[in-house]
Amino acid sequence: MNLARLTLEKVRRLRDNETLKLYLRHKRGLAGLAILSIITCLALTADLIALRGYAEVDLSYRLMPPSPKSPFGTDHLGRDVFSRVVYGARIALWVGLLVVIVEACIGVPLGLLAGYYGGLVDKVISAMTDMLWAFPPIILALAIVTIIGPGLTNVVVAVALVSWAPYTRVVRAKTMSIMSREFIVAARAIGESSFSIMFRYVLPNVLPSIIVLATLTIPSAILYTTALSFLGFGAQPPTPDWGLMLSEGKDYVFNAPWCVVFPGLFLTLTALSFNLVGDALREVLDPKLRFG
Amino acid sequence: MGDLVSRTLLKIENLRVYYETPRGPVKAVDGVDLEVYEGESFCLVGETGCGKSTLALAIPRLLPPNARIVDGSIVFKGVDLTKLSESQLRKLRGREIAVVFQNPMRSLNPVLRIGFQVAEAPLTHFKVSWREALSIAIERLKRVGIPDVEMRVRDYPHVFSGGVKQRTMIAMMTTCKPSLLIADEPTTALDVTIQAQVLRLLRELKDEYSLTLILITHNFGIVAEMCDRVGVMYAGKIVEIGGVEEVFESPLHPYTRGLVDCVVARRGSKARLNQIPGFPPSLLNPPSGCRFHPRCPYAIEICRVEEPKLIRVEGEHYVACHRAGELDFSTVLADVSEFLSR
Repeated sequence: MNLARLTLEKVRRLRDNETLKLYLRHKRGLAGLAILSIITCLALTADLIALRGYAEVDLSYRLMPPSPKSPFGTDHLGRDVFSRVVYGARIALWVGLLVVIVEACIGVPLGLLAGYYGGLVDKVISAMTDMLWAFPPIILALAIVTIIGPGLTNVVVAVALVSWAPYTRVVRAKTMSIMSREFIVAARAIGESSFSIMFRYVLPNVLPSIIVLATLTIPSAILYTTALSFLGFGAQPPTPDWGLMLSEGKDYVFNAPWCVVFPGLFLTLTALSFNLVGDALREVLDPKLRFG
Repeated sequence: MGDLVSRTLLKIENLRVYYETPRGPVKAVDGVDLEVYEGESFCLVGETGCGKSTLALAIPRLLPPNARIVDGSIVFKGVDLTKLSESQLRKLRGREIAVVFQNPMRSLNPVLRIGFQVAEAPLTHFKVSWREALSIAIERLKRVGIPDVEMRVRDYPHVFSGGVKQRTMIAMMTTCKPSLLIADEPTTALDVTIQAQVLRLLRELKDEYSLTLILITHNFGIVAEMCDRVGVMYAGKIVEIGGVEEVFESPLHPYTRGLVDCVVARRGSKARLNQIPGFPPSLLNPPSGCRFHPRCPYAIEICRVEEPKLIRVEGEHYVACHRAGELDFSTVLADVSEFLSR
């Protein structure tokens, strides 16, 4: 089989892909994807499109309203808000992704173990998740950051540590329902090990749910890290973090609203776009909603 | 007899499997004794819920978590399977003992490619590379008659029809050429036209790989066609065992006779179907004595009180009935032999 034929086959499969077709018919999902693509493009090309460096101070040009020279205005140190917002997109997306990855790395294996073994293992893991659930996440994250010290990386760790519980819950429930399916017995009948059943039979079947959950938790991850940065525990100046920008700009909200409006707007748009995409994915990947 | 003992592949003694439920233990298999000889086809027949699937799944210990082997032994090639650890069992499953399940639609992992699933067994049991495992898989898939195997191994199960899925399942279970294949109603979920093909395939593979086959079914036609010996189960117990012809031509247990009667009556199109009156008993609280006595037209006092033992009547024909021998079922014999000769 040559390469051209393989590629053709791939294209054909993609064209026939039901999930993709359904997604392309989902209007809100497409809108979300469009906003997300724009923000991602901004983040990726930040070095090209930023008018100035994000930390470039120009004290003679402080708190200027939006103009062709600085489309989103300038902040109290004369830094270009547009450039900072664009670089901030980089941080926000990266942080969101990182938090979700760490969360999934903690939550998914725990959920698999709980759902696969049941019994005592399940009781212990479920008790842990329930305990975590009982705390307001932001307070717990604050406590963790207080212990391990401020900084963006620490905030990512803290947020991930307090919000993996939904993954465990979802994966555990899904695993339990999959464990009762016959192909798991068939896998055991050919002599598969528990590890292999968990990761090669159960996990691929849980993956759609994990993907949906991930897209739906990215916005809250971004919002939590932003909140911590806003409170001064996260990114430290002059990092162009949106939370930090809001915090710095809040004193000038009446005479220079652009300092907070634009970071806030982008924060909202990012969260919104992930939510739209996540909802669309859930509807597209859920066979019940698909045919119901 | 010594000759027969040496040929015994599987010997089940006094096996009891109970399901724990909130309403108490369900005695799905309650004291089963059974021997399966090397190279034979053994059939287990019985109504839905009589414990035949539980018995089958108990052999490779693939029972659901709420099931418990309460008592008894399952000796396979001289090893008591009930005493093995999970990791020791894992080495046997798929390698020595394989199971083909009832519903091929649900027995294949929907998100793994066919080739991957069939290659899993050799990959687990033999020291082979992924590529070698895949080529074994392709070879076996070709053997079970799947067209265009090289292309099909990249497909996911949902694009296959039921018959092809069951063939795939059979290929998957026989990749390592096990010595015992347990087929749990392998054709129940398939179209009638496909059933015969799948059965023929099973019989061919049995000869080719010299498998011992335990076939579970409620279809007497399949029993007659496929098997050397047959065991009839009722309410968690084996009530009659024997060669297929012996059991069909001279059933000794009233329940077997009733079953045979039901099938035979189907031929007369106008006549009302024969049936065994009543319902199978609840296995939560099975009847005392002989479990069949509430539905048995020949029941006498002792049937209510004492549980009949499985006794040898002649040759390899065993029955668990207090009145074995004194009952005369000759009225149905003519019909049965006609049925068998078709």
